[in-house]
Amino acid sequence: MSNEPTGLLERHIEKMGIAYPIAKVKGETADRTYGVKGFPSGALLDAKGRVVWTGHPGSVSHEQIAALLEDTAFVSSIPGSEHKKINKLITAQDFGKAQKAILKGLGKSPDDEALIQARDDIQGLLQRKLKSAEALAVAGDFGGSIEIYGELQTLFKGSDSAKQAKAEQKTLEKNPAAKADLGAWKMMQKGNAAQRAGDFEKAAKVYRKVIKKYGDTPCAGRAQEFLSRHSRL
Amino acid sequence: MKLISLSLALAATLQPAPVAEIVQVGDLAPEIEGEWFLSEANTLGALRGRVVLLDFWRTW
Repeated sequence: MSNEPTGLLERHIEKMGIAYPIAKVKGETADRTYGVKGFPSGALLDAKGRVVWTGHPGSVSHEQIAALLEDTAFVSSIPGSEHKKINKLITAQDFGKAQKAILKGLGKSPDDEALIQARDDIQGLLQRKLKSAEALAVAGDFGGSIEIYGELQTLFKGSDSAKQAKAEQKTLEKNPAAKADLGAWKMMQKGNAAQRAGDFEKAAKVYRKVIKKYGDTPCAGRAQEFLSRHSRL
Repeated sequence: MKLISLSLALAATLQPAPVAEIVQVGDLAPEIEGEWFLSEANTLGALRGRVVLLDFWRTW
């Protein structure tokens, strides 16, 4: 991220052989929002877009990144050039279609180890996500659980896994014990959107309402954490 | 009426500019508005689901 002129950035990108996304920002707004006091400065975001670390970008720990990657929907592409169509689906995180294509491929060549690996990776991702959704619900974090079921419905769109996730979500929504936290979770979405838009005051306003209405829920706990971090608001 | 609006305008300029809230660990990352290069995504929102390392840098 830099606020320098486009021409300068383009020359720099070419000279350094940069291959990762670069954002040309206007003025100092992003620097101020992220509390940047010198360059370079970094912030690490998890799959939800939550800031989990800030500091010198060269000092971020590989272990921390590896731990965060565990929680993403990352599946490795199939090596070689034979499975372009499946790789495209994997990269697009369209795992419902990818699964179907892999099974079709395995129907023709059941011993294709690369396909078996890809099938198992996707299955592993599904199982991992279902397990965390279940664990969260058991811990009373129903909002967190429903978020994962929603994510699975997107990742496995059009497949039985998506149907299963939807069914699990419906069961959760009918669970009387989940009512308060899900109410809080729904309310919190507005605050989350405000945070993502950089409007922390509006977020604080929403979170205060969440706490007032749904005091004793995990969601309210998260709302309180935000207010403690931003005590000025 | 003019006088009132003038004094209101003055009051507005005399108010200290609000101090922007700074992102803390635990917050949802505010969107980065700008022109993106080398990327199909052009917002942080489009990178949701991935681990992202933001790097604030200058060429100098």
